[in-house]
Amino acid sequence: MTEYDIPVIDQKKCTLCGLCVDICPENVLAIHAGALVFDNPNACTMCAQCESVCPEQAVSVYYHISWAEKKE
Amino acid sequence: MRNDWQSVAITSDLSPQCRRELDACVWQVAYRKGEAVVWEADDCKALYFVSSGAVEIYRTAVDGREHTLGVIMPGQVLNVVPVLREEAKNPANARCIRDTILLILGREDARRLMGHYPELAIALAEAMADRLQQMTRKAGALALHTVRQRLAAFLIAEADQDEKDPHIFWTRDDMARQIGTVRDVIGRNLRDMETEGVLRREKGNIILLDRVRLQRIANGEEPT
Repeated sequence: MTEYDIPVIDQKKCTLCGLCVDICPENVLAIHAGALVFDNPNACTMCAQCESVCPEQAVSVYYHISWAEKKE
Repeated sequence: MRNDWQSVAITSDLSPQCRRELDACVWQVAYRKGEAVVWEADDCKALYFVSSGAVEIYRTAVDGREHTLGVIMPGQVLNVVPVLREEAKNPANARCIRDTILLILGREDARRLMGHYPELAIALAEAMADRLQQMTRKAGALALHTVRQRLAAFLIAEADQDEKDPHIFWTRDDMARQIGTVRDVIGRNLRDMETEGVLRREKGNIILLDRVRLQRIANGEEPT
C-alpha cells in the first residue's frame, strides 16, 4: 500500500462541511473528533467523488500513469 | 568537493578550475515537497542547479488558476533568464514537487563566473536554449492542439517516464495545470478515452492500453 492508495486529505483546508462524507458511495469517510478520517479505507474505490465535491479543494486523488504492457 | 554535482549534467564539461570556483560559491539546500523556491516578480537572487528531486515552474492567473510551464529535473538548472537579464525579476513561480536538493549560486557570483569562464556561459546558454525549445513546443501545443490531443500526449509521455521512474503520481488538478485546462475537463476526457477503450482506470491507476491509438489522438489524426 502506498500513501496514495486512498485520497489525500489536507486537514488544514478541510472545514468539516461533510459533503464528501455524504457523497461517498462506499461510506468510507467520516468525521470523528473534529477531523475528517477514513473509517474504512479498504472499501475506497478511488472514484474521486469526494475530490469533485469538496469546495475547499482539501481532497486530492492521486493517479499513477503506466502502460498495460511494459516496453521490452 | 562538498556539494553533490554528480547529477548536474551541464557542469560535467567544465574545467577543473571552473568547477572548483563554482563549488566554492554554491550552497546546498534541501527542500521538502511543496516548498517554494522562488516567487514570480520577486528580485532574482540566484541560479539553482537541481541535484535531486523535481521543481515545477508555474504561473498563476488572476482567478487563481495555475499553469505549469515546465518541470526541472535533476541535472537541469532553473532561473537562468533573470540571472542574464538586466531587469532581474523572477519570471515565474517555482516549487518542489518532490523532496529536492538544490545547489544555489548567487546571481552576482553567477554573472562573475560566466565572465571568467566561457565554458560556463556556453553551458548555461545551452540550458536556456533547451528550455526555449520546450517552451516553443508548449506554446505551439496550447495554440494549435485540442485538450484531448494535449492530454493524450501528456499520458504517453508520463507512461514512458514511468518506465524510468515509477514513483510519480498525479491529481487531475496536476494534469490540468500541465496541459492548460481545468480538472473537470481532464475528468471528462479520461472518461471518454476509457469508454473508447484507449485506457482503463483502476483504483488510483490510469493504465494505457493502446499506444497507437493514443498517438493518433495526440497527432490529431482521430476525430474528436
